[in-house]
Amino acid sequence: MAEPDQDAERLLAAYRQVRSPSDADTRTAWAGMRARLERDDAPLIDLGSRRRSLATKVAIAALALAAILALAFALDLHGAIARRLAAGDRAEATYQGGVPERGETPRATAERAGGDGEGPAEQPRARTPSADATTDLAMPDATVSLEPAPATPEAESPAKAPSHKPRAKRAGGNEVPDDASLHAEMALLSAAQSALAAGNPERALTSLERHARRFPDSLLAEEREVARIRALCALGRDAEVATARRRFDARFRGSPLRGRAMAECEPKGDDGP
Amino acid sequence: VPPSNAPPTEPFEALFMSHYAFVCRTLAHFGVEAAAVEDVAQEVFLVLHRRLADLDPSRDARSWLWGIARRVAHTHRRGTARARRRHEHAEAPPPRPGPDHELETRERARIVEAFVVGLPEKLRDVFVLAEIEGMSAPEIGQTLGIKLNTAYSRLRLARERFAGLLEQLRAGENAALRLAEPTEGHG
Repeated sequence: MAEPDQDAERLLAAYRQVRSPSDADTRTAWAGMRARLERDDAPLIDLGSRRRSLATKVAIAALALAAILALAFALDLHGAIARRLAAGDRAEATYQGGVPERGETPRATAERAGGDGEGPAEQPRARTPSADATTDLAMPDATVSLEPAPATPEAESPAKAPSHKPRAKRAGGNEVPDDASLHAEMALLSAAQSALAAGNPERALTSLERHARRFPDSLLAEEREVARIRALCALGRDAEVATARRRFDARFRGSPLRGRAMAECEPKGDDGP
Repeated sequence: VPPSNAPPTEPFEALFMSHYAFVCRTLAHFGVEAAAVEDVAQEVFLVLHRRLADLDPSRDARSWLWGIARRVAHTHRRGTARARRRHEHAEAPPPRPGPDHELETRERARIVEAFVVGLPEKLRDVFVLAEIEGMSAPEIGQTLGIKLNTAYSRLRLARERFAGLLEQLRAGENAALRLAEPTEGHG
């Protein structure tokens, strides 16, 4: 039986292949494109578009302002109507057998009084653990420094949840990821990327190594290893670059990031594998 | 104009040759039917050509093209009559009978297609950009206009689901996973 990663790579490679035009198709398409450009006499650079873009932005801003003003007016009007209706509801609640308590809204009074009235009572909207609900996590700021945290046994022990192997319940769609470990993982990777972008590969490497210790089998291990190669390149640690590239190649042979990992930088010296 | 094997001689041609396949895959991802992809891809590059001066050169070209392709595909789907007229003479090619490995490749592609279509849109975009287009998380964030943390978390969730699919396929001993590797070097 094939290794798990090979299965995934074969499926994805097939999808890429079937969805991609051949080189010959691309050349034919370029010929058609060139003819179209000549026929349409399309200018290479449309100098007016930036000005039009600015005019469009001004128009949109004006419309948005008008909409906000209209909304504010409508809300004010709605408030006045609601206050007027509240007085009427008070009398209606008395008819239904309920007397509004101090601070209670007319609707709450009505619900308290007629709990089994027509139609189902409106349920509070539950936060179900659906995939969508877990899609956009409110992540901490990626730039939060992760440096000073000491390597406690708990903090540095490999996390069990984010493994390459999906959890059984997850496949059934019932289990949600461990938010704490997910946050920690995202924070480490984002901190590494921020450090790389800021020209601080040492700090990036620290975050990436902590990520590797805590989440050795992370589903984002490919991204971590590419970032690690990039950081090592920036530090000129050529021997480690070569080793990291070999390990990446062995572990993620079919990865779409493979080309990037291999070409991230060429070792500057010949100081061993 | 006959197709040429000569290397690209101008920047726009180089851009086209480098990213045409990406645009075709992206248009298919946004629901443009196979028969119309070529024409719609041409529209995408026409928009790019006209807007070259407005584009931020510090951004990855795929990031612009993704955004343009999304809009052009949306317009295409809303009013396909013009494209349909243009394609009256060119119906979608029927599935070609071919060697076993081609059928195997198509079966695998179909499995991934079904998986991708079944993903929530937010996960779908990130999964395709990472796994099919090979973008890094920062590039995905830039392309989709989302935070880096969000790109990472969506990617992890999408991969979890994909791993779940693989487990299901293995449990069902799906034929597609027992097949030989697809042939390299399409085209």
